[in-house]
Amino acid sequence: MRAAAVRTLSLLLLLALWESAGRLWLDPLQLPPPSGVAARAWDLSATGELWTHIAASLGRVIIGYAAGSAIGIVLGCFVGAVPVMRDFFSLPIRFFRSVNPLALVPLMILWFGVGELSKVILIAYLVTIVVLYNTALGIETIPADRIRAGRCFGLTGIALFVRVIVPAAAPGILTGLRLGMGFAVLVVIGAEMVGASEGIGYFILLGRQYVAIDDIFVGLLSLGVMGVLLNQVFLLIRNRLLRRYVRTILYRG
Amino acid sequence: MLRLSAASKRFHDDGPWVLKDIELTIPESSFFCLLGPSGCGKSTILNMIAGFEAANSGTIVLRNRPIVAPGPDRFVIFQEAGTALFSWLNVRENIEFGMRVQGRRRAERHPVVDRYLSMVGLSDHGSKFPDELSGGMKQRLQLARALALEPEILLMDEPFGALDAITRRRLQHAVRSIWRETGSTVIFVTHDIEEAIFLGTHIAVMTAGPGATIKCQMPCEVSEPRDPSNPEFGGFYKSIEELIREEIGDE
Repeated sequence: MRAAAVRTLSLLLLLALWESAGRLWLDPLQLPPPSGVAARAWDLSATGELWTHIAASLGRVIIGYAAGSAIGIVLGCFVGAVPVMRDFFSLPIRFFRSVNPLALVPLMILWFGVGELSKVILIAYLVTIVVLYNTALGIETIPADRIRAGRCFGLTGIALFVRVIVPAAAPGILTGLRLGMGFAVLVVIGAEMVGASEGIGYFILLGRQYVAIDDIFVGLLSLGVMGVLLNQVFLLIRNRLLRRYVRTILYRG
Repeated sequence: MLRLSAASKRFHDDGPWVLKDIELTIPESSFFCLLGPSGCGKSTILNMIAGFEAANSGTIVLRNRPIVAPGPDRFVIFQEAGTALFSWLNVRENIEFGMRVQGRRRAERHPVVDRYLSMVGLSDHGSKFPDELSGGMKQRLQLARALALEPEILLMDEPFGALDAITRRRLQHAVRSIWRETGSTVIFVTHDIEEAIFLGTHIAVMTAGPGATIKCQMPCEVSEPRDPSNPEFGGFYKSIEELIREEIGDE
């Protein structure tokens, strides 16, 4: 209850600061106040234009995220559970972790064209690395006694993996999935700034071309709201349906 | 009967021997306490009996069959119950887990869960998760989870070392009465002489490592009820303390 009050207060203060800065100190053309941005967002959503861009970005995020998560979990399980795989993948993972996906945009376009595929692949690439890394880490950091307890039940191989190792690594896997979702929202914009005809990234770029600063702010705001809402949906699903697997995160058990 | 013959263990080729020529005979249905100075390799012996670690040489034989892998006939009660229990299963589900692995039907599982829940005194806590239990209750749950599989041997690795004195004493009583009731063999690792005498029917004392061996093995025939303030208990305590002092000196 107190946390919610403080969060609301933080939001209100931020808006008040922004509004007064736009009205009192700065040129509203340079920094349009939130009231102006809200009015502009209202107009853009009334015509449906804003929703087209949001839907385009959201669609790419969801597809890229789903693909990247699936690949990341499967590879992460191998890397975390099979020592040879860990050694095999350790250098590539460290290498690709330091290659910013935005640096890959030109290559993706040359390879896969300017269509949807290159954008989705870019998102999936980053999500894969994040989910893979955290899944592997989640498995590697399972306490030895927890796995030994599983072996006392007579479990080995795949059965041990499914019944003990995966649920025990669930906090790590879910952390990867949550981080991956944030990264997907981050990287979609970069992908949309080159060779796109819709999407929030494209819309922001358009704002620069037409010097429509309030449009840029509408784009930025949509991004932030999209990120916050996706995170909320993720937490809702995790805490309702998968609660038992994240008790160690929620209650420091 | 469980027998270790000339069992030796080291963790690296060319490394120092942790255990050298361990000779142990553990009778069926005994409460066997393995006592020794810290770091001498008591837990390693337990891990070999559990099947987690293989001996480099020598044999470990249970009822004429060599131990090659872990199995539900030998269940370990780990010292850190919080990590050994399955945090994603509630109390009932933790106890039920082994029976599910064995493919036993729900109707068959539930009475067993109820029985062991009440045996360890957790009947009112069936739907709690391990993180909601105190340290002593977690150890009781570990015990119930193991007992539900009716193992021949319970391997206990300093299970009460992390508990306060009162909880520890209550659990010692509980383990002793459960041992009487179930007739399993208990192999109990501890460095606490009083605990060993309080619980055991047999006591083996180890030498200090590296290359630790069994210094001696004896029955523990202190009369019941066992009471540390009883002179007989105290006399036995003194003689074992002397054996251990020979190993570690007057530190």
